[in-house]
Amino acid sequence: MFLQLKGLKKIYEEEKGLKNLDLEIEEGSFVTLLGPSGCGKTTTLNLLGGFIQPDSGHILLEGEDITGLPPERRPVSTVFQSYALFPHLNVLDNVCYGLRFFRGMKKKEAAPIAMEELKTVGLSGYETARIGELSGGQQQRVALARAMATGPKILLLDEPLSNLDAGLRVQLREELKELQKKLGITMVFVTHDQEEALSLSDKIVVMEKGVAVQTGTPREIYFSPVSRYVASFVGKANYIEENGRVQIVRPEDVWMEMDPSGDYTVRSASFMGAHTLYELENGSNVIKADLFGREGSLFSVGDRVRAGWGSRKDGPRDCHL
Amino acid sequence: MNPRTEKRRHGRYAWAELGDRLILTLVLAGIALFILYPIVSVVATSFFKDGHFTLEYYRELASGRSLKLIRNSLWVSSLSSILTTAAAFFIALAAYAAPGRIRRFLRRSLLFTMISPPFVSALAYIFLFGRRGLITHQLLGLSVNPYGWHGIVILQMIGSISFASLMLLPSFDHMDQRLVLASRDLGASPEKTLFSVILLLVRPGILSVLFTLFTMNLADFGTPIVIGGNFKVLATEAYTQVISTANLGRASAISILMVPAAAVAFYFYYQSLKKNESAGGTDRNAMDGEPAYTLTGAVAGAAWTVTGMFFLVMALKYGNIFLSAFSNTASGSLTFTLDYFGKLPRSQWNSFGHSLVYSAVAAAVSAFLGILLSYYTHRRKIAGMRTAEFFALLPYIIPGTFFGLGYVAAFSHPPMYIRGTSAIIILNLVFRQISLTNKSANAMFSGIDRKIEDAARDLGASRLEVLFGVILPLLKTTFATGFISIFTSCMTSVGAIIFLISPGKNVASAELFQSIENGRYGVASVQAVLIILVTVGINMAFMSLTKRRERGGK
Repeated sequence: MFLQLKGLKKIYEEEKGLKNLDLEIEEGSFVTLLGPSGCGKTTTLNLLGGFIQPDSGHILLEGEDITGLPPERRPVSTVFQSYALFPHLNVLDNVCYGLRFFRGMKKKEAAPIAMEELKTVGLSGYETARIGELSGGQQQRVALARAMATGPKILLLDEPLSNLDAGLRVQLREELKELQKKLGITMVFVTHDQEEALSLSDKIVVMEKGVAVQTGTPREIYFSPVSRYVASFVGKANYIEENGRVQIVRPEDVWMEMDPSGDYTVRSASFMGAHTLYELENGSNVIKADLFGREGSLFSVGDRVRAGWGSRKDGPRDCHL
Repeated sequence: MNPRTEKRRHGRYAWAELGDRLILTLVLAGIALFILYPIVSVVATSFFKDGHFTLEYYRELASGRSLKLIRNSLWVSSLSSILTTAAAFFIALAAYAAPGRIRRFLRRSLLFTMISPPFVSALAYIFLFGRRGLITHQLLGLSVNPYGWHGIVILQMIGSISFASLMLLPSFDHMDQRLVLASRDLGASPEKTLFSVILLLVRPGILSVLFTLFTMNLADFGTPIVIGGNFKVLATEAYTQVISTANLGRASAISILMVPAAAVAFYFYYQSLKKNESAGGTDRNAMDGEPAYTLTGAVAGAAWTVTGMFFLVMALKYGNIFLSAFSNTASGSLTFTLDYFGKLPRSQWNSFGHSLVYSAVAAAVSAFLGILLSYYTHRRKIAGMRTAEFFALLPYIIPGTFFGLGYVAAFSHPPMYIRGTSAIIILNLVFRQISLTNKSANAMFSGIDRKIEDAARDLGASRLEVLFGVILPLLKTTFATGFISIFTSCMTSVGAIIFLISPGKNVASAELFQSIENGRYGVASVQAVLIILVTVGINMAFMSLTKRRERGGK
């Protein structure tokens, strides 16, 4: 196995941190650590980068134990959430930094390689710009180029898109995915954004309170969540009890029709454009429904409807909770 | 990566780790040896006579003569501290709330008037208001006696108002401007807002200034010697004990007596610092850098009267010094002359050279050490560094004479016999000021992304390469401003140094003091002018240098 985390533990005050993590990552894959703040995902990334030392456990890269190596000696690079670009250096010198110190190159040797990296991220022509003159998206690209320039075996990304506005976030997400495919570099990505996780990853590790609660492909995580926690953190979910068993029903799997004698009343309706979110009420029972398109947007508060689920191909599965 | 380069890289990192430890050790050793050891030495000296434990020095302090000195000290220090703080409050208020251009002018003038060698005001005061004073005698035909406690109070006020105003100003700038806006919005008059909101918000700052001044005035021996006449205070007693009778024990006991005041000053100083620090971060400045308070009515009247009077006094002071350095009134009329400069003996020029070299070296080393201390304490968060940082703050709080005395007590005998060398003077200057850059570096660091060192190491930089290639370049301006203020203070201060100079190693500020003490006022004003010109020159050179670099950077 390319990268193995074995029994990693790092506890901070108030029980925060990482309790016990075992994880295997294949070469060239894109793995996302997903969870709310305080779940241990950033701690994991810091352990991988060598910025902190674990209380116990090991990190093996290509079979070699790198747990005790300081960051400067690890073939691992990080793209920081805040980018952490050097404000006293220009763009080119920022990208050259790792080439000079990690790879021990002279500045003259490093420059052409750095220019190549800048071209890859679409920043040719910005070599002499100061960091402060760049937009958030451009800084993000410099940070990416700087981290990749050292030719790391693993690229760590700590919520790299969280400081960008919505449109740019989606654009850079696409670019990142393309880049990873093209270069085949192993990436470990940390986020609390389920959309990012689902769209980018080969494998998602959902974390809660310092442990990995489920590991799997995006489809596995979304369609077969192992717990209520996973189901509600990745996507929205209804928990419906039938015959003594609790089923998870995704709101988009709920269908409904106008019916004056139906069981449900529309309690709220939120028009989102492409889809419309409803809350349906039946006595104390409330279920969420998510309908698409123009037709799906036609219900209004107070309407009586008939509703159901499970009649479609991709319908809900049984889940013991 | 092939094994050979891997091995070479490993060696490089190992050396860097070692170098990093070495630097940290040097910083800690410096604090232990040149701050703690001298302080402990003073305490020990006060309790031991000829190798035996004794309370004799303290018993002497309770005798009738000493009690009178203590009363005198308390009276003069309290009065001048309270009056200075009151004046500084109005000047700082004006410098905070005045409209744009006037505000900048006031702030710059306050900085400029900080550059004042000791006793320049004393010189001017004697020239203008003395027995043969230009104003009292020649203009008004009076013959008043300028000497006595009132002279001390006036001179201590003139000498410390700029400092006090500048120290108080951040309290105004950092108060939550929205509270002031809210008070006005809710209909409070300017006077009401001043007393019910602003005064409460800047109170920690006021108390801090008040007690700091009290400590400074308590330890000030120079002004009472020059202008006190027969009025003696504790600090003069400590000074004469060392200089004329070499009685270190008694001088130490007197210095220790002044520590409680310093401790109270520190407490309030620390409180106001914490307030200011916690003020950072959130968007409290609702006014885009403009003050939320406008000067109107009675408040404006008071503020501008005090500020105007202060600048009038300053104009008189500097005008007089320059006039008397370049002119001759012996013939009855003012004539321009450079005679005094020509007559300045060679030894004086040497002292001047010493001052420049000592101040420059001390300022550079001290600023550098302050930044390193801050780096190891707040960036690397090495255990125990906070205690070290606190110790580094001590020389700044305790009376200057105490710290000077500490060096005499600690370094006049083996194992560290360095009295009479240039090193002892430079070391004293370095460690007295170390907390100045330390604090501004702390503030600077809090604005720099914590991840930046991680990023540099992640990219293969060793500990030392991070320190010298990333950290220090980012703190260039902190270093430059630290250097200027330490240099200025070294050029113009006399408190601790006076005990450490020796023949052939004299400095300009001490020579100036000796000239005044011996009544050679003409020479003294030339020395004062030289100190002022050089210090102002270096200040301006540095300012334009950093400005150009900033512009070049953009």
